[in-house]
Amino acid sequence: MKLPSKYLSNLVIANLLWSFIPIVILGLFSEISILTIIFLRFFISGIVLFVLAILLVFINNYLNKENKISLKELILNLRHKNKRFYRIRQYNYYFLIGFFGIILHILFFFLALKKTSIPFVMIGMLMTIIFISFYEKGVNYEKFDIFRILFIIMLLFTILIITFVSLQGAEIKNDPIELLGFIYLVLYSITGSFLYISIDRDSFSKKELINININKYYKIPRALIKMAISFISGVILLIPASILIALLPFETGITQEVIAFFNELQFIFVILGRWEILYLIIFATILPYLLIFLARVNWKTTNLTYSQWSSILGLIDPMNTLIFSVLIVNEFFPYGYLIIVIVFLVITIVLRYAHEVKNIVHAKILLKIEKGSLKLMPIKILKFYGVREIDSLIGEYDLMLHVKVNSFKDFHYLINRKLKLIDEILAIKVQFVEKIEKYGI
Amino acid sequence: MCKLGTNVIKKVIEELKTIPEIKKVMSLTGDYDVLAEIEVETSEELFDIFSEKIDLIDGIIASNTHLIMKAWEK
Repeated sequence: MKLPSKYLSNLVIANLLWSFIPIVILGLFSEISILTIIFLRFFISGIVLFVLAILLVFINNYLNKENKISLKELILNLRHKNKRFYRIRQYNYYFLIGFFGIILHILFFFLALKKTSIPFVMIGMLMTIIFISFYEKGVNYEKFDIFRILFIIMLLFTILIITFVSLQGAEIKNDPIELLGFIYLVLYSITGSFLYISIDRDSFSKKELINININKYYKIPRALIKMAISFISGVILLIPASILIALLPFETGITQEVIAFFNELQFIFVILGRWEILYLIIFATILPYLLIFLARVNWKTTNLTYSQWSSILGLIDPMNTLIFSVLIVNEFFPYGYLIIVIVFLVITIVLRYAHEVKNIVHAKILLKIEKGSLKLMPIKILKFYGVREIDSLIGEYDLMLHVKVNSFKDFHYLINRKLKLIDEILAIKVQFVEKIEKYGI
Repeated sequence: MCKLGTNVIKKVIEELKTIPEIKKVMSLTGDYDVLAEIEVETSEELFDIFSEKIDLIDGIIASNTHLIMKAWEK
């Protein structure tokens, strides 16, 4: 199978950059409040991404006068109702992702890191993958095939080994892992699961789909604006939430962090100049997101989609973090156990790849449609889950849908609950793709 | 899209893959056995590829050609 190598490396680099986060910031915790770190990282990154989006629109409109991107439409689309996320408006959807999926997720990650150790926190990342698997099974999105069961078993074994070694390390250092640290870890996994489940539930409006087909680079400023709004709105809500925590009559686990945060606001520019904060903003937020968006826009149609590769390669992050935490900051993790964990995680990546490859229904659906409906029908059908591309044809059929779904249940739903209900569709012919023998250049 | 005779699918696919204008070849299950995407600039070029290359491949029983007018993606 040919890999989308050029852009696959973007995903690998992004995961590598993220894997250094715990190592870079661990030393900061004793000097700076976790809330200050989060505030600076996401507020500055959000502003930079937003400015970058606007700049890209102007550059595109200057260089590509025929296929301009309308800034006004980009902003207006924020009011579009997201049909894949409870029909709430896009700006509300971004806000929910921003606060619950990003800010709280990172807050619990840092709190768990402060209370436990880097290897122990890696358990949270692995638990997130398991939570998502059970969620997908629960909502009948995917079945538990043999590969998925095996990779869950491998993850559970890896979690057991990491827990055993972390407890051993805590005992040697005479610094026991607190229950509160474990609670933060579980909360980190829950908010992470929310983030990964909801972030792909974005929906494009009709106008946006037309814009993307005029200029595929429309997706980049759109994605940048999405992240910028998510970051900034999440950070803004962090302030009243912090005030609320500070006003509580009893002390919580993060009260001291909140007090330190408000005290540090006067030195915010000094803190901003620290290399660890700059790494977080530039190399752990702006750069990886740009790499990911670029990969997403230019992703070629191969056997696996961008999202599937993204979930497979997501395991690189905890694996590298673990390796570098041992090699760079001397976290306790005997080499024998480290090698076993790495081997287990590599096997998990392979099993996950096998699962994703096996769980694909790839088909071409040929449609005959009613006279006069050719202009509107493709945009209407393109919104259905699983329809990746549509070609309008001259010949026996009028439209060819390029469909990729994860299961026959999804495929059945598309045919019987979506396409067959459209009056303008006169005939449907399904051709399943067994194998792609040659790829486009 | 091509319908093929029996036991020729591998041979036909290999021959289709050698034609540079064919950008993508897929084996299918359904009425047709193979889908080949061809990229040409003129209808003459399409005719030449058909008459000089595809039509000469043994094993293709029938073919159905569709021209792509426009493509949408998300």
